[in-house]
Amino acid sequence: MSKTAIIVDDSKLSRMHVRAMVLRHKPDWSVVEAANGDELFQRLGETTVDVAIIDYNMPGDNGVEAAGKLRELHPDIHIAIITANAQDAVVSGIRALGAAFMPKPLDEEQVSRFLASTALPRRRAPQA
Amino acid sequence: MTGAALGMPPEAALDDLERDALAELGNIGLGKASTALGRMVGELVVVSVPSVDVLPLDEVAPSLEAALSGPLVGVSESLGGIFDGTALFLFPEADSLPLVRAVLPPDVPAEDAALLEEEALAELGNVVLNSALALVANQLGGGIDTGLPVVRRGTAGAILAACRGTGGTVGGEDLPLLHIDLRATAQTIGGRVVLVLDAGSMGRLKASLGGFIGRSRAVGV
Repeated sequence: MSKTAIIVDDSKLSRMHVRAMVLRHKPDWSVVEAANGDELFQRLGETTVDVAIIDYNMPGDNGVEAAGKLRELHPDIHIAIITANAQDAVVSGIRALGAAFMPKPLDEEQVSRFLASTALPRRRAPQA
Repeated sequence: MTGAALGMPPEAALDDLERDALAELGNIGLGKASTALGRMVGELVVVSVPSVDVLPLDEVAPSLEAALSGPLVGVSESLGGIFDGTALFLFPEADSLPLVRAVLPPDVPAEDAALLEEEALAELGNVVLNSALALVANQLGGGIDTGLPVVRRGTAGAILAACRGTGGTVGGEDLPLLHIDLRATAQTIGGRVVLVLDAGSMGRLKASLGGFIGRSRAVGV
């Protein structure tokens, strides 16, 4: 089924890179882009989004903060957070949101698995 | 061990064991960073085993200028958490083009090229610094907050001075100078990673290192 993915990253280069990866694996998907957390929520007012791929290191809200707000508004969106910052606290913050952690540089196989997983209903985050 | 480290005055220099522990952490952190960088730039660059030096502040710029020729590119991120300071990835400007080319998509529109070149350098630095720092933070059992990457060009001295200008005052502490070599097939691209600590952070670093040394010993016995 065709879905819409949003890529949230302050780097245009990174957005191009992720967009190309998504479309290589899911050529029938639509991809929209946002440069930060504020733009993410603007886009959500305009388009229905099924999948969000969010960079961690951004001006304004970081990726985990933006994903947390997104999760509250849209509990069923599949979220992946991409970062080279694999600190325990960052990774556990990502996992607590029920989001996927994808380390930078992105591994195409891992992105492919994440995209494939979005065909299933979202797994709920474990309750604390 | 931890108690002894915590009890030292904050401005004290690192002792031999702490220096050794920091070098070890730097080594494994840079190993991780090298792998990440190698994957970003594909087959173009092979990365050597990193080495780590801890230097007094006034020796850092001369050491960098001796090792890296010509104008340099520096990507820095400010640090908070278990220590305050700046992390910096430096390499010769002449070597930046093959790195950027390897990272940029082949079909970049000409009007975007200049912007994307800066972003490619920022992203390269971001991945190198965060890969290394995340590993160091996890080993030390604390958090390191990293700021957004800033790209600067100039001499080692000028880039270091600009970083320090944004990160508060820097005292006369020893500075870890982490060293990484990148080798391309036809040429050697040398790069250096530098961790600059703000005044007052040495005590916190020593306390974290003391904890790390204590845990390493407990595991080793």
